Amino acid sequence: MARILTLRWLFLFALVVFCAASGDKCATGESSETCEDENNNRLWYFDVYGLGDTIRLVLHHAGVEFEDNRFDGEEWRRDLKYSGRFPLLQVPVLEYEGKTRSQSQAIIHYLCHQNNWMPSTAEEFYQDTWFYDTVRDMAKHFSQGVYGNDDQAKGAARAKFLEEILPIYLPQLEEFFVESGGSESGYLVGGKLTPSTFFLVAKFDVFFYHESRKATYLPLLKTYAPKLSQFIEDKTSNEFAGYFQDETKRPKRDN
Amino acid sequence: RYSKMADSATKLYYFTANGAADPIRFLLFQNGVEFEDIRFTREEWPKVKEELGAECTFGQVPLLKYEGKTFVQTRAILYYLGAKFGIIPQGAEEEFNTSWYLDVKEDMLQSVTKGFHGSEEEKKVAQEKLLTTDLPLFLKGMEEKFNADGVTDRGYLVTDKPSLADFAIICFLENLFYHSVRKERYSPVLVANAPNIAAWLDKKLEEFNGYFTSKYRPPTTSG
Repeated sequence: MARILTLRWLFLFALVVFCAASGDKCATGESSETCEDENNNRLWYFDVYGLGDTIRLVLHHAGVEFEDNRFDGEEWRRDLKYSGRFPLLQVPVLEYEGKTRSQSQAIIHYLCHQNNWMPSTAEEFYQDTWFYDTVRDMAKHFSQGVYGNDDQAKGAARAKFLEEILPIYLPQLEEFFVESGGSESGYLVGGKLTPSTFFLVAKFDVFFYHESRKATYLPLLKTYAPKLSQFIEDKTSNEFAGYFQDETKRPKRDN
Repeated sequence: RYSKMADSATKLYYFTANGAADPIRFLLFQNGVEFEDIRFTREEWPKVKEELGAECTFGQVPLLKYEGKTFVQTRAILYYLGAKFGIIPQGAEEEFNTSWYLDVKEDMLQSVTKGFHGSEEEKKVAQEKLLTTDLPLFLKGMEEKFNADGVTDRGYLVTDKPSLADFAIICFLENLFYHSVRKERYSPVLVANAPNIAAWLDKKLEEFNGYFTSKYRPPTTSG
């Protein structure tokens, strides 16, 4: 009896030490109460900008405290993907106010709605969704030049992005930006924050202003969409500076 | 993208398929809007694109002409009409749920289209993976949410009456799993992995039988 009690205490002691040593994060799946607080807000995503960047921006802009859990592909496949935490075997996943949510577009719209950063009229819903989905389409093309193992395919995709995609998409976006009143108001839609403003600014910052691409990509933005480029620079330097200018919140990554 | 037109008739431009235009047709029909359902083949498309000209932003369809204005991008059109018809999400939770279903649908579609590229052998392998691995995963995820949200009792995906998510998902599931060209192989996958959604779908197809037997839903060759 005494030995069993001793073993149990040794085990608990080891557990506490382990949890203390690993800080706030515990091994996935571990449900010990000394380690996991189910009310913590947590974002799970790769250590890239990708689909997580806009979520992080919105969370920071909303003043939400959260654990920004980042990992690489290997850790994802080995430890996380099949842990049971991710029903669709996908990230980003946001644990927020006790609920687990997937799908970045849905997450962003949820957070924006909570903060009243939403369109009001039918026209505004159209414009906001148009901007958002257009940028999403661009991001798909962009990703083909970044992810995957086929260097030749990636090179071809990057060339296509520069030579075909941007010259078609950017002038349309610029035109829409003027028509929606955005170039006057400083917001894409409705003279206020909406999901598309967060998303376009974040994604275009990655496409056009990243050190590795700026020399080639930014001139195209300035040529085809000069007003949009001013808008992005204004947002990242002023209203969203707390996120974009803070490397503890937005560490530099390639993609 | 707005254009002042003398002609204020409602016109929808898309291929001879259900595809991305399906939820738009469904929504217009359910709200009693008569419209010209303009369909064209891949061969006819370049000519149509030329006729539409600059209004066809990015050279893509569906394209909707409604009350004298032109609209593109499927989801943007749905939200616009949804706002006009009073069926867009109310509150953050409904907004999340609506977007979630539309987002998962997009992911499923991307998966499905992978099965139609490459060599015959590659397509066969991709379609096998689709039916045994990819679609089951999406369906299980959807069923989990469907059950957690109490949809069977409530009757509709997001709230207690039909809303945008219902229109998008009902015709998407019908087209993917019940289309005559693939029903035999696909519908068992739905029933096995999402039995409550399958039962719900059958009820909804009965409820909205008017659309599915209308002139806006003629037989198509593949989807």
